Amino acid sequence: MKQIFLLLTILIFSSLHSDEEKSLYSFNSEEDHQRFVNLSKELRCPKCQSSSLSGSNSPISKDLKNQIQELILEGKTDQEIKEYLLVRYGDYILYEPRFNSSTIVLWYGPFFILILVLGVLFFWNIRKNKDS
Amino acid sequence: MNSYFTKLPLIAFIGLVLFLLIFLKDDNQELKSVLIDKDFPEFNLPSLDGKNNLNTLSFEDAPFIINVWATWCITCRVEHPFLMELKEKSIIPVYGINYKDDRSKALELLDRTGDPFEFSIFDYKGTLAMDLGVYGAPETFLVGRDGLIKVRHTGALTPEVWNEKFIKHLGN
Repeated sequence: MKQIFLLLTILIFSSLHSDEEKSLYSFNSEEDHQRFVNLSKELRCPKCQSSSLSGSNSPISKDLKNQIQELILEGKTDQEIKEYLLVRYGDYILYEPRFNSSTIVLWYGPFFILILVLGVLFFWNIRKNKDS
Repeated sequence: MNSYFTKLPLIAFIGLVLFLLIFLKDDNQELKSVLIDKDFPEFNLPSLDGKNNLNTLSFEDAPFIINVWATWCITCRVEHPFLMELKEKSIIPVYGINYKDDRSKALELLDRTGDPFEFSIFDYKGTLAMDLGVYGAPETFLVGRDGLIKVRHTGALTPEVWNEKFIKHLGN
């Protein structure tokens, strides 16, 4: 019961939080608004290591959100906005890293390890069967 | 051969521990600037005293450093004596970017504690700072002899940091 209550409280407050976020920034259309919400979730606050722009109230996050709002109002695409921030703040700003030579391990590493582990398990099994 | 296989999980585990030890130890809060070896961004802003309009042509001969500062920034006061020293000993020209600050408070602070800057750019909205990828104050950039940004340092500029990161770009 206690846990359900806690969960409900968290849910209620989290929805309050996103409502507040919506009312702070105004746009020409609901679609633009949604783009803003998505972008500020996909982009990372450069000051706070592990928080999206949307989840951060640090001054730099506010500045960046204002800038994103401005760029959306200017009619820039999501890609152009990300590019704008990338040339200034670098890859760090993206929560989902781009695919390039320095992030190849990040993208394919887990698959590589999975295949390695499956391979080892497979050979292990063969060996075991042979022994018995 | 059999023992090799049974020990594999242990070997993998040790490998993982070593990997994490090496990479988690590096808890440097500093982001690598994408601006290294790039031109200083174009800008057109007033000086802090309001007397001039400043742009990239306002800087004298490179190398020089640019320090992002504000009166609300406590760490800026820590590095202030060292910036004064750089100026007094004519080691390198120091320029300032007064970042999202109150103009009269900023002028008053410089008046009271000394002004290490050739001039300060009054970046009230933080537009130049955003073009530089600044995410706090203080930050210090060094523009090298070739006119490109060579160093970006976040946090106080101390003599140790100076010797470690900046001095090698001064040339002869």
